[in-house]
Amino acid sequence: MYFDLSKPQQLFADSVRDFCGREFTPERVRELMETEAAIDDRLWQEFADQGWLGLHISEDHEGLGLGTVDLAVLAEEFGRACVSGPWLANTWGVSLLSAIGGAAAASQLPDLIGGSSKVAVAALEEDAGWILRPQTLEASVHGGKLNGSKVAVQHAGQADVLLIPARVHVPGRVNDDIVIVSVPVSADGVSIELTAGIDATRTLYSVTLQDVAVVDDQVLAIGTAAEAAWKTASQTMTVAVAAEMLGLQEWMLATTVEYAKTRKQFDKTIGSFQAVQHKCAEILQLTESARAAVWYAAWAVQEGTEDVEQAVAVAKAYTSDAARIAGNVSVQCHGGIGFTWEHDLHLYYKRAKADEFLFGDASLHREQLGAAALA
Amino acid sequence: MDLNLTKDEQDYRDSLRAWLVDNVPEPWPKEQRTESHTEYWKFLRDWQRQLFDGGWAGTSWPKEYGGGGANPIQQSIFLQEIIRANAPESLGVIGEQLVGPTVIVWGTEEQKKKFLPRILTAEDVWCQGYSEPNSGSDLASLGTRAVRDGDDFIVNGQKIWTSFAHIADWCLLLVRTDPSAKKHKGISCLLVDMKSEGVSTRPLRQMSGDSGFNEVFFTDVRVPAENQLGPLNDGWRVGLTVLMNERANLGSGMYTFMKESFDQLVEHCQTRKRNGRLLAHDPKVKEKIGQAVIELEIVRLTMDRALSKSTAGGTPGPEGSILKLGWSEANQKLVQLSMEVLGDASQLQTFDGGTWPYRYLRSRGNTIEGGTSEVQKSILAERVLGLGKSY
Repeated sequence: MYFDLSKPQQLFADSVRDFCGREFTPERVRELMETEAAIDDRLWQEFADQGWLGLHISEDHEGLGLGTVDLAVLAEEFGRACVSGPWLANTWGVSLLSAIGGAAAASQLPDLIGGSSKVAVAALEEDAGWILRPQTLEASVHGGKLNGSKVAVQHAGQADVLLIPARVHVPGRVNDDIVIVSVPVSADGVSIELTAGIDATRTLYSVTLQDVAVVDDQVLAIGTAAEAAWKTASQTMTVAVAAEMLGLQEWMLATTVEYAKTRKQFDKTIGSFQAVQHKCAEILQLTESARAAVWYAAWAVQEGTEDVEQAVAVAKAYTSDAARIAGNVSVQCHGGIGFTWEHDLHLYYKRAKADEFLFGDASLHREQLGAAALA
Repeated sequence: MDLNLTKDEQDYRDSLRAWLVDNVPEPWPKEQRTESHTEYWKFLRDWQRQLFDGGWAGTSWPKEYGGGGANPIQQSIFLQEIIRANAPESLGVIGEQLVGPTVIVWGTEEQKKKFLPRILTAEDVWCQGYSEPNSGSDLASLGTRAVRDGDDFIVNGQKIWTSFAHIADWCLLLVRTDPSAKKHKGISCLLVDMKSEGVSTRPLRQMSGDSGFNEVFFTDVRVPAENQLGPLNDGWRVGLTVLMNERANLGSGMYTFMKESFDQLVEHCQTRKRNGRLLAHDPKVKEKIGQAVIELEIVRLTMDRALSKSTAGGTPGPEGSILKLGWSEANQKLVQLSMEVLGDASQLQTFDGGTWPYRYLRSRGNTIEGGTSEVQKSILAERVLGLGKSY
């Protein structure tokens, strides 16, 4: 058993950290988050040139063909720097296309990974959450037309194409099926509206679809094939988000410890007060525990282990709670300044909160874990 | 990154499992353990001898000392499999896990020859004389005195929380040999024959009902000077060796106990009802069981990470330091959660043989023994995070 990164993976982590240290300083993140794109073209092209837009995607589709553990390394380092913009959104779309495979993947992935076009996945609805069920979806494809409303879509405004799960009635089947369609953002009937969220480093949009034409080659997958691809992509992305949250926690821990070592009150560093020491120790415990869970989940997805579903759910549930608690404790340890806009802590705090929801919060995964254990 | 057991690790586990299937005796009935305790202790010693004869004693010891030369992962496999097989409890645990490795590091050749083989066969059962009524977390403040008198030391004082003292043959005892020196610098380590004149024990009952540990009184006890382990007035370092081993090994066994307890809980959920509905169908129960899964997995994965690091030859990093803190808190959460799920019946001594109240009460000791959670956090803050001392 070898429960650690390989040497090449450690070197990769170091190189991403160096890159982010130069290009994604907190000052730069603050500048970028004032824009809807929250990224600039030069940085996006840098990502593409490094292979970071398709790290885990097959070389057949211009990806680097690396594994989920490598993706987790990248996501963690991006989390450590609170990298703003559509990397996560694009990666979700790329993962979904890759899972669907076939002509859609072959035709769209090279540009998405090469940086010349962007994708966003529009999944959530007012009444439909992370568990995809045709019966609960309002978005539907009928008579070659797509209708519906999607909410909280990351970076729809920067995307060229949207991947959209909807319900469809297939002749001969009793209940509706899931269908995943691909729609150009410029198509008639697609309207996108900015909706600010708690985390300004990633822009959210509402997407309204009114009689949007959908022809055959835009129907990427239906029924069990759609569900399978959705599940595969979701597992990968859940790991990526959990890894990102691990990175957020690492930054919060380092920042809080540094503050505890330097801030003085009562002629002593606050880090010499046991109350503060113990809070720092708690953040350490949360972070080290999260690391074990995230790495295991990444490896389980990469290997396709029997317990992969449990591993992914554990990682997301644990990091969702851990990153929130680490954030709360970090703010507390910083005292008044931790509560200000000026201190960088709120960037991470808000990102952690937004990530908490993505691909299911702790509560959702707890219930799934419990149901599986009791079955 | 590879979380599969290697072929060697699998073979180790499989051969141990096979041996256990053929050798683990029928459990000694719980009710009879206190009444017929002399027979029970003989049963436990016989089991230890059986392990020795089968080549499974001293798994963590180097082969040159009669041990199995097992690496940390193999040691963990051993601890887990022993529990899975419902083997008798280990009388030799302190000798094997703590005293033996310490004698191997600090002992003279004579001491190694005299003591080590008898630990492996459980001809000698050991206890650990550390804590005192006034020296718990602040162990270095200990006051049990040892004064040199000719070829002996004369020992006076008292120890507390001493597991197995009532049946132990020998005691690894931390004493103060130089009261004028600074706290840590005046401590020595002595190996004491528990049958010596002047040694007496008094059992202490835990809130869980067990009398697992004791007070031990030393009144003018003569200990031959050749039984000093390690350098005079440098016994604190000897004592630390023991503590390091204690912290390293406890996790694996605890995880297995917790997992078995969880499996038992799940079975109940699948068969018991509340308000006309199967527990397993109650969404609140599902969420609690889900939380239990998370707690267990975090303990298991953190442990595996630390084991992997120490097997690969490194010292475990922060992931090792959080182990004890982690499993102790997790166990407390799990037993609480279990009783919430099981409801009123769980408090009854007639339900599952009273195992739930027992586990619940016993778990309160987890965050105190082996270094309190507060001490663990202070160590993490001071040594891992570099925040310096705090009070």
